[in-house]
Amino acid sequence: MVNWEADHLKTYPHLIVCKHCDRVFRRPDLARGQRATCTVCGQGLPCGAPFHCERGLALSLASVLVFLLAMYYPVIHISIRGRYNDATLWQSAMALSHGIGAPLATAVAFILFAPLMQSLMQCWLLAFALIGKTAPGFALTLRCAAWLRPWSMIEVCLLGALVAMIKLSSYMEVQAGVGLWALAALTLLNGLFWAQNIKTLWEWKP
Amino acid sequence: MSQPSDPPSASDLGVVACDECTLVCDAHDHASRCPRCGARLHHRKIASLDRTLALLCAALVLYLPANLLPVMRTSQLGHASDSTILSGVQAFWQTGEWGIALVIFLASVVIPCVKFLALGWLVWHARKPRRRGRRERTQLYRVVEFIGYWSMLDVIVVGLVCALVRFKLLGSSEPGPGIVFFGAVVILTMLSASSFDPRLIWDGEKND
Repeated sequence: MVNWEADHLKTYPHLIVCKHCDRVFRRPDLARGQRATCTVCGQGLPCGAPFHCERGLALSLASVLVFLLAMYYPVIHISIRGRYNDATLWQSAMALSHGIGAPLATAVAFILFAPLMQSLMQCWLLAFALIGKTAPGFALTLRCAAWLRPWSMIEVCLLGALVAMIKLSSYMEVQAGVGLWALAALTLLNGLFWAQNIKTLWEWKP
Repeated sequence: MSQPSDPPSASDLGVVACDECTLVCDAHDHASRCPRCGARLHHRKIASLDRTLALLCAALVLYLPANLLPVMRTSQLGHASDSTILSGVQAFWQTGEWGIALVIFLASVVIPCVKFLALGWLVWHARKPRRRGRRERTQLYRVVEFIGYWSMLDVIVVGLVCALVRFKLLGSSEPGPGIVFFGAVVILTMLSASSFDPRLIWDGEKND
Protein backbone atom coordinates (compact mmCIF):
# COMPACT_ATOMS: atom_id res chain seq x y z
CA MET A 1 0.00 0.00 0.00
CA VAL A 2 0.97 3.63 -0.40
CA ASN A 3 2.57 5.23 2.61
CA TRP A 4 1.18 8.67 3.25
CA GLU A 5 2.92 11.16 5.46
CA ALA A 6 0.09 10.95 7.92
CA ASP A 7 0.65 7.25 8.50
CA HIS A 8 0.94 7.83 12.24
CA LEU A 9 -2.80 8.56 12.44
CA LYS A 10 -4.60 6.08 14.62
CA THR A 11 -7.39 4.30 12.76
CA TYR A 12 -10.45 2.39 13.94
CA PRO A 13 -11.37 -0.15 11.24
CA HIS A 14 -14.01 -1.73 13.50
CA LEU A 15 -16.06 1.49 13.57
CA ILE A 16 -18.27 3.10 10.96
CA VAL A 17 -19.69 6.62 10.80
CA CYS A 18 -23.00 7.61 9.19
CA LYS A 19 -22.13 10.17 6.53
CA HIS A 20 -25.42 12.04 6.99
CA CYS A 21 -25.66 12.45 10.78
CA ASP A 22 -22.10 11.69 11.95
CA ARG A 23 -23.13 8.96 14.43
CA VAL A 24 -20.59 6.25 15.21
CA PHE A 25 -21.49 2.57 15.10
CA ARG A 26 -19.64 -0.71 15.42
CA ARG A 27 -19.07 -1.98 11.86
CA PRO A 28 -21.56 -4.85 11.40
CA ASP A 29 -20.71 -8.15 9.74
CA LEU A 30 -23.08 -8.39 6.82
CA ALA A 31 -23.95 -11.31 4.59
CA ARG A 32 -24.43 -10.88 0.86
CA GLY A 33 -27.58 -8.89 0.10
CA GLN A 34 -27.81 -7.46 3.62
CA ARG A 35 -27.68 -3.73 4.28
CA ALA A 36 -27.18 -1.70 7.43
CA THR A 37 -29.01 1.57 8.05
CA CYS A 38 -28.32 4.29 10.57
CA THR A 39 -30.73 4.08 13.50
CA VAL A 40 -30.73 7.85 13.95
CA CYS A 41 -31.29 9.29 10.46
CA GLY A 42 -32.15 6.25 8.34
CA GLN A 43 -29.30 6.60 5.85
CA GLY A 44 -27.72 3.40 4.56
CA LEU A 45 -24.33 2.89 6.21
CA PRO A 46 -21.37 2.58 3.83
CA CYS A 47 -20.65 -1.07 4.53
CA GLY A 48 -21.64 -4.43 3.14
CA ALA A 49 -20.52 -7.95 2.42
CA PRO A 50 -17.03 -8.25 0.88
CA PHE A 51 -17.13 -7.16 -2.77
CA HIS A 52 -17.87 -10.02 -5.16
CA CYS A 53 -15.04 -9.41 -7.64
CA GLU A 54 -15.96 -12.02 -10.29
CA ARG A 55 -19.49 -10.71 -10.53
CA GLY A 56 -18.30 -7.10 -10.58
CA LEU A 57 -15.72 -7.76 -13.31
CA ALA A 58 -18.21 -9.66 -15.47
CA LEU A 59 -20.72 -6.82 -15.23
CA SER A 60 -18.08 -4.15 -15.89
CA LEU A 61 -16.72 -5.95 -18.97
CA ALA A 62 -20.26 -6.42 -20.30
CA SER A 63 -20.92 -2.72 -19.66
CA VAL A 64 -17.88 -1.70 -21.71
CA LEU A 65 -19.03 -3.80 -24.67
CA VAL A 66 -22.65 -2.68 -24.49
CA PHE A 67 -21.53 0.93 -24.08
CA LEU A 68 -19.63 0.71 -27.39
CA LEU A 69 -22.78 -0.60 -29.07
CA ALA A 70 -24.86 2.19 -27.50
CA MET A 71 -22.48 4.83 -28.82
CA TYR A 72 -21.78 3.35 -32.25
CA TYR A 73 -25.31 2.51 -33.37
CA PRO A 74 -28.09 5.06 -33.92
CA VAL A 75 -30.56 5.44 -31.07
CA ILE A 76 -33.48 6.55 -33.23
CA HIS A 77 -34.32 6.24 -36.94
CA ILE A 78 -36.83 8.62 -38.52
CA SER A 79 -38.38 8.86 -41.94
CA ILE A 80 -40.67 11.45 -43.48
CA ARG A 81 -41.96 11.46 -47.09
CA GLY A 82 -39.30 9.07 -48.27
CA ARG A 83 -36.48 10.89 -46.55
CA TYR A 84 -34.55 9.12 -43.89
CA ASN A 85 -32.24 10.05 -41.04
CA ASP A 86 -30.83 8.59 -37.83
CA ALA A 87 -28.76 9.84 -34.93
CA THR A 88 -26.38 8.42 -32.36
CA LEU A 89 -25.98 9.85 -28.87
CA TRP A 90 -22.66 11.31 -29.86
CA GLN A 91 -24.26 13.17 -32.79
CA SER A 92 -26.87 14.60 -30.45
CA ALA A 93 -24.13 15.97 -28.18
CA MET A 94 -22.52 17.54 -31.25
CA ALA A 95 -25.87 18.97 -32.39
CA LEU A 96 -25.88 21.06 -29.20
CA SER A 97 -22.55 22.67 -30.02
CA HIS A 98 -24.12 25.31 -32.31
CA GLY A 99 -23.12 28.88 -31.42
CA ILE A 100 -22.96 29.41 -27.66
CA GLY A 101 -23.70 25.74 -27.06
CA ALA A 102 -20.05 24.63 -27.01
CA PRO A 103 -19.75 24.46 -23.18
CA LEU A 104 -22.99 22.50 -22.95
CA ALA A 105 -21.89 20.11 -25.70
CA THR A 106 -18.64 19.54 -23.80
CA ALA A 107 -20.53 18.80 -20.59
CA VAL A 108 -22.89 16.41 -22.37
CA ALA A 109 -19.95 14.66 -24.05
CA PHE A 110 -18.36 14.21 -20.61
CA ILE A 111 -21.62 12.86 -19.20
CA LEU A 112 -21.94 10.44 -22.14
CA PHE A 113 -18.45 9.06 -21.59
CA ALA A 114 -18.56 8.97 -17.78
CA PRO A 115 -20.06 5.43 -17.72
CA LEU A 116 -17.32 4.13 -20.03
CA MET A 117 -14.54 5.63 -17.90
CA GLN A 118 -16.22 4.22 -14.81
CA SER A 119 -16.53 0.70 -16.24
CA LEU A 120 -12.92 0.72 -17.49
CA MET A 121 -11.66 1.76 -14.05
CA GLN A 122 -13.73 -0.96 -12.40
CA CYS A 123 -12.31 -3.54 -14.84
CA TRP A 124 -8.79 -2.42 -13.97
CA LEU A 125 -9.35 -2.67 -10.21
CA LEU A 126 -11.27 -5.93 -10.29
CA ALA A 127 -9.03 -7.74 -12.79
CA PHE A 128 -6.06 -7.18 -10.48
CA ALA A 129 -8.11 -8.10 -7.42
CA LEU A 130 -9.04 -11.42 -9.05
CA ILE A 131 -5.41 -12.43 -9.49
CA GLY A 132 -4.79 -11.42 -5.87
CA LYS A 133 -2.90 -8.20 -6.51
CA THR A 134 -3.53 -4.56 -5.71
CA ALA A 135 -3.98 -2.68 -8.98
CA PRO A 136 -1.42 0.08 -9.65
CA GLY A 137 -3.02 3.37 -8.65
CA PHE A 138 -5.68 1.49 -6.66
CA ALA A 139 -6.63 4.36 -4.34
CA LEU A 140 -6.83 7.02 -7.05
CA THR A 141 -8.74 4.77 -9.48
CA LEU A 142 -11.27 3.72 -6.88
CA ARG A 143 -11.79 7.33 -5.80
CA CYS A 144 -12.31 8.44 -9.42
CA ALA A 145 -14.74 5.59 -10.12
CA ALA A 146 -16.82 6.50 -7.06
CA TRP A 147 -16.66 10.22 -7.93
CA LEU A 148 -17.98 9.61 -11.46
CA ARG A 149 -21.08 7.86 -10.16
CA PRO A 150 -23.49 10.86 -10.08
CA TRP A 151 -22.28 12.02 -13.51
CA SER A 152 -23.14 8.80 -15.25
CA MET A 153 -26.63 9.38 -16.65
CA ILE A 154 -27.42 6.32 -18.75
CA GLU A 155 -30.96 6.03 -17.42
CA VAL A 156 -31.60 9.72 -18.14
CA CYS A 157 -30.35 9.23 -21.72
CA LEU A 158 -32.68 6.25 -22.07
CA LEU A 159 -35.71 8.22 -20.90
CA GLY A 160 -34.62 11.18 -23.04
CA ALA A 161 -34.51 8.97 -26.14
CA LEU A 162 -38.00 7.65 -25.39
CA VAL A 163 -39.37 11.17 -24.92
CA ALA A 164 -37.73 12.30 -28.17
CA MET A 165 -39.33 9.35 -29.99
CA ILE A 166 -42.79 10.22 -28.70
CA LYS A 167 -42.21 13.89 -29.47
CA LEU A 168 -41.34 13.17 -33.09
CA SER A 169 -43.85 10.37 -33.66
CA SER A 170 -46.71 12.80 -34.31
CA TYR A 171 -44.88 14.33 -37.30
CA MET A 172 -42.97 11.41 -38.81
CA GLU A 173 -42.29 7.71 -38.65
CA VAL A 174 -40.00 6.77 -35.78
CA GLN A 175 -38.14 3.53 -35.09
CA ALA A 176 -35.95 2.44 -32.20
CA GLY A 177 -32.35 1.73 -33.20
CA VAL A 178 -29.80 -0.74 -31.84
CA GLY A 179 -28.40 2.10 -29.69
CA LEU A 180 -31.67 2.38 -27.78
CA TRP A 181 -31.72 -1.33 -26.91
CA ALA A 182 -28.09 -1.09 -25.89
CA LEU A 183 -28.95 1.84 -23.60
CA ALA A 184 -31.68 -0.24 -21.98
CA ALA A 185 -29.25 -3.14 -21.47
CA LEU A 186 -26.65 -0.75 -20.07
CA THR A 187 -29.14 0.63 -17.54
CA LEU A 188 -29.79 -2.91 -16.37
CA LEU A 189 -26.09 -3.84 -16.17
CA ASN A 190 -25.24 -0.68 -14.21
CA GLY A 191 -28.14 -1.29 -11.86
CA LEU A 192 -26.87 -4.83 -11.18
CA PHE A 193 -23.34 -3.54 -10.63
CA TRP A 194 -24.42 -0.83 -8.17
CA ALA A 195 -26.44 -3.35 -6.17
CA GLN A 196 -23.05 -4.00 -4.56
CA ASN A 197 -21.42 -1.11 -2.75
CA ILE A 198 -18.14 -0.42 -4.56
CA LYS A 199 -16.79 1.26 -1.44
CA THR A 200 -16.56 -2.17 0.21
CA LEU A 201 -13.63 -2.69 -2.15
CA TRP A 202 -11.62 -0.49 0.23
CA GLU A 203 -11.66 -3.36 2.73
CA TRP A 204 -10.16 -5.68 0.12
CA LYS A 205 -6.68 -7.02 0.89
CA PRO A 206 -4.44 -9.05 -1.41
CA MET B 1 -35.36 13.92 19.36
CA SER B 2 -32.07 12.62 20.60
CA GLN B 3 -32.56 9.72 22.99
CA PRO B 4 -30.07 8.78 25.70
CA SER B 5 -29.46 5.50 23.87
CA ASP B 6 -28.41 7.30 20.69
CA PRO B 7 -24.88 6.49 19.58
CA PRO B 8 -22.27 9.24 20.04
CA SER B 9 -21.29 11.48 17.16
CA ALA B 10 -17.86 11.28 15.56
CA SER B 11 -17.00 14.87 16.40
CA ASP B 12 -17.82 14.23 20.08
CA LEU B 13 -15.44 11.26 20.07
CA GLY B 14 -12.74 13.26 18.29
CA VAL B 15 -12.65 10.93 15.28
CA VAL B 16 -13.44 11.58 11.63
CA ALA B 17 -14.53 9.22 8.85
CA CYS B 18 -12.76 9.55 5.50
CA ASP B 19 -15.26 10.87 2.92
CA GLU B 20 -13.80 8.60 0.25
CA CYS B 21 -13.10 5.24 1.85
CA THR B 22 -15.11 5.59 5.11
CA LEU B 23 -12.14 4.60 7.32
CA VAL B 24 -12.49 6.10 10.81
CA CYS B 25 -9.34 7.97 11.94
CA ASP B 26 -8.20 10.09 14.84
CA ALA B 27 -8.56 13.72 13.92
CA HIS B 28 -6.36 16.13 15.74
CA ASP B 29 -4.98 18.42 13.08
CA HIS B 30 -6.56 19.90 9.99
CA ALA B 31 -4.16 18.87 7.26
CA SER B 32 -4.39 15.12 7.95
CA ARG B 33 -4.78 12.67 5.14
CA CYS B 34 -6.49 9.32 5.31
CA PRO B 35 -3.82 6.62 5.76
CA ARG B 36 -5.74 4.19 3.53
CA CYS B 37 -6.74 6.25 0.48
CA GLY B 38 -4.85 9.54 0.81
CA ALA B 39 -7.91 11.80 0.73
CA ARG B 40 -7.90 14.87 2.95
CA LEU B 41 -9.82 14.36 6.18
CA HIS B 42 -12.48 16.89 7.08
CA HIS B 43 -14.81 17.04 10.04
CA ARG B 44 -17.26 18.84 7.77
CA LYS B 45 -17.12 19.79 4.10
CA ILE B 46 -15.16 23.04 3.73
CA ALA B 47 -17.28 26.22 3.62
CA SER B 48 -20.23 23.97 2.93
CA LEU B 49 -23.06 26.45 3.45
CA ASP B 50 -21.35 29.31 1.59
CA ARG B 51 -20.57 27.12 -1.40
CA THR B 52 -24.04 25.58 -1.48
CA LEU B 53 -25.67 28.99 -1.33
CA ALA B 54 -23.33 30.57 -3.90
CA LEU B 55 -23.90 27.79 -6.44
CA LEU B 56 -27.61 27.86 -5.75
CA CYS B 57 -27.82 31.62 -6.35
CA ALA B 58 -25.86 31.26 -9.60
CA ALA B 59 -28.29 28.55 -10.70
CA LEU B 60 -31.28 30.70 -9.72
CA VAL B 61 -30.00 33.61 -11.83
CA LEU B 62 -29.49 31.36 -14.86
CA TYR B 63 -32.90 29.77 -14.35
CA LEU B 64 -34.58 32.91 -15.71
CA PRO B 65 -32.97 32.92 -19.19
CA ALA B 66 -33.33 29.13 -19.22
CA ASN B 67 -37.10 29.54 -19.08
CA LEU B 68 -37.49 32.75 -21.08
CA LEU B 69 -35.18 32.03 -24.02
CA PRO B 70 -36.12 29.43 -26.64
CA VAL B 71 -34.64 25.98 -26.11
CA MET B 72 -35.28 24.93 -29.70
CA ARG B 73 -36.00 26.60 -33.04
CA THR B 74 -37.96 24.50 -35.49
CA SER B 75 -38.47 25.52 -39.09
CA GLN B 76 -40.82 23.85 -41.52
CA LEU B 77 -41.32 24.93 -45.15
CA GLY B 78 -39.71 28.29 -44.48
CA HIS B 79 -41.81 28.91 -41.38
CA ALA B 80 -39.75 29.10 -38.17
CA SER B 81 -41.05 28.79 -34.62
CA ASP B 82 -39.32 28.99 -31.27
CA SER B 83 -40.24 26.84 -28.32
CA THR B 84 -39.38 27.37 -24.69
CA ILE B 85 -39.45 24.71 -21.98
CA LEU B 86 -42.97 25.64 -20.90
CA SER B 87 -44.36 25.96 -24.41
CA GLY B 88 -43.02 22.46 -25.13
CA VAL B 89 -44.93 21.11 -22.16
CA GLN B 90 -48.02 23.06 -23.25
CA ALA B 91 -47.85 21.63 -26.79
CA PHE B 92 -47.90 18.06 -25.46
CA TRP B 93 -50.70 18.92 -23.07
CA GLN B 94 -52.86 20.38 -25.83
CA THR B 95 -52.39 17.43 -28.15
CA GLY B 96 -53.68 15.22 -25.35
CA GLU B 97 -50.38 13.50 -24.52
CA TRP B 98 -50.65 14.15 -20.80
CA GLY B 99 -48.24 11.43 -19.71
CA ILE B 100 -45.33 12.82 -21.69
CA ALA B 101 -46.26 16.41 -20.78
CA LEU B 102 -46.12 15.37 -17.14
CA VAL B 103 -42.70 13.68 -17.50
CA ILE B 104 -41.18 16.80 -19.10
CA PHE B 105 -42.92 19.10 -16.62
CA LEU B 106 -41.57 17.05 -13.71
CA ALA B 107 -38.01 16.87 -15.05
CA SER B 108 -37.69 20.45 -16.30
CA VAL B 109 -39.86 22.53 -13.95
CA VAL B 110 -40.76 20.66 -10.77
CA ILE B 111 -37.36 19.10 -10.04
CA PRO B 112 -35.32 22.34 -10.43
CA CYS B 113 -37.85 24.26 -8.31
CA VAL B 114 -37.89 21.55 -5.62
CA LYS B 115 -34.10 21.68 -5.56
CA PHE B 116 -34.05 25.48 -5.15
CA LEU B 117 -36.60 25.44 -2.34
CA ALA B 118 -35.20 22.38 -0.57
CA LEU B 119 -31.55 23.45 -0.63
CA GLY B 120 -32.45 26.99 0.40
CA TRP B 121 -34.51 25.62 3.28
CA LEU B 122 -31.72 23.24 4.34
CA VAL B 123 -29.07 25.98 4.30
CA TRP B 124 -31.33 28.35 6.24
CA HIS B 125 -31.97 25.70 8.91
CA ALA B 126 -28.34 24.59 9.07
CA ARG B 127 -27.33 28.12 10.05
CA LYS B 128 -29.58 27.83 13.10
CA PRO B 129 -29.77 24.11 13.82
CA ARG B 130 -32.94 22.99 15.52
CA ARG B 131 -33.70 19.60 16.97
CA ARG B 132 -37.16 19.30 15.51
CA GLY B 133 -37.43 17.74 12.06
CA ARG B 134 -33.77 16.81 11.71
CA ARG B 135 -34.55 13.33 10.46
CA GLU B 136 -37.04 14.76 7.95
CA ARG B 137 -34.55 17.35 6.71
CA THR B 138 -31.95 14.60 6.22
CA GLN B 139 -34.53 12.67 4.18
CA LEU B 140 -35.24 15.82 2.16
CA TYR B 141 -31.53 16.07 1.37
CA ARG B 142 -31.52 12.46 0.19
CA VAL B 143 -34.44 13.24 -2.12
CA VAL B 144 -32.58 16.27 -3.55
CA GLU B 145 -29.48 14.13 -4.12
CA PHE B 146 -31.53 11.45 -5.83
CA ILE B 147 -33.61 13.60 -8.17
CA GLY B 148 -30.65 15.81 -9.14
CA TYR B 149 -29.63 14.49 -12.51
CA TRP B 150 -33.06 13.69 -13.96
CA SER B 151 -33.36 17.31 -15.09
CA MET B 152 -30.74 16.58 -17.75
CA LEU B 153 -33.61 14.90 -19.61
CA ASP B 154 -34.58 18.00 -21.58
CA VAL B 155 -31.00 18.57 -22.72
CA ILE B 156 -30.79 15.02 -24.09
CA VAL B 157 -34.19 15.37 -25.82
CA VAL B 158 -33.22 18.66 -27.51
CA GLY B 159 -29.86 17.19 -28.59
CA LEU B 160 -31.48 14.11 -30.11
CA VAL B 161 -34.26 16.01 -31.89
CA CYS B 162 -31.79 18.52 -33.34
CA ALA B 163 -29.49 15.72 -34.51
CA LEU B 164 -32.42 13.92 -36.16
CA VAL B 165 -34.55 16.59 -37.80
CA ARG B 166 -32.29 17.93 -40.53
CA PHE B 167 -34.31 17.93 -43.73
CA LYS B 168 -33.70 21.51 -44.84
CA LEU B 169 -37.03 22.58 -46.37
CA LEU B 170 -39.15 19.74 -45.04
CA GLY B 171 -38.18 20.62 -41.50
CA SER B 172 -35.15 21.27 -39.35
CA SER B 173 -34.43 21.96 -35.69
CA GLU B 174 -31.68 23.92 -34.02
CA PRO B 175 -30.87 24.23 -30.32
CA GLY B 176 -31.69 27.63 -28.82
CA PRO B 177 -29.73 29.55 -26.17
CA GLY B 178 -32.23 28.56 -23.47
CA ILE B 179 -31.01 24.97 -23.39
CA VAL B 180 -27.43 26.09 -22.65
CA PHE B 181 -28.65 28.04 -19.62
CA PHE B 182 -30.85 25.14 -18.59
CA GLY B 183 -27.92 22.70 -18.74
CA ALA B 184 -25.89 25.10 -16.61
CA VAL B 185 -28.72 25.28 -14.05
CA VAL B 186 -28.82 21.48 -13.76
CA ILE B 187 -25.05 21.18 -13.33
CA LEU B 188 -24.87 24.06 -10.83
CA THR B 189 -27.69 22.66 -8.69
CA MET B 190 -26.02 19.24 -8.71
CA LEU B 191 -22.76 20.83 -7.52
CA SER B 192 -24.70 22.85 -4.96
CA ALA B 193 -26.34 19.72 -3.55
CA SER B 194 -23.02 17.91 -3.35
CA SER B 195 -21.37 20.82 -1.48
CA PHE B 196 -24.03 20.70 1.22
CA ASP B 197 -22.93 18.72 4.26
CA PRO B 198 -25.96 16.95 5.80
CA ARG B 199 -24.03 16.51 9.06
CA LEU B 200 -24.59 20.22 9.64
CA ILE B 201 -28.29 19.41 10.15
CA TRP B 202 -27.27 17.43 13.24
CA ASP B 203 -24.70 19.85 14.64
CA GLY B 204 -25.22 22.37 17.40
CA GLU B 205 -27.44 20.11 19.50
CA LYS B 206 -25.81 21.24 22.71
CA ASN B 207 -26.91 24.81 22.09
CA ASP B 208 -30.60 24.18 22.53
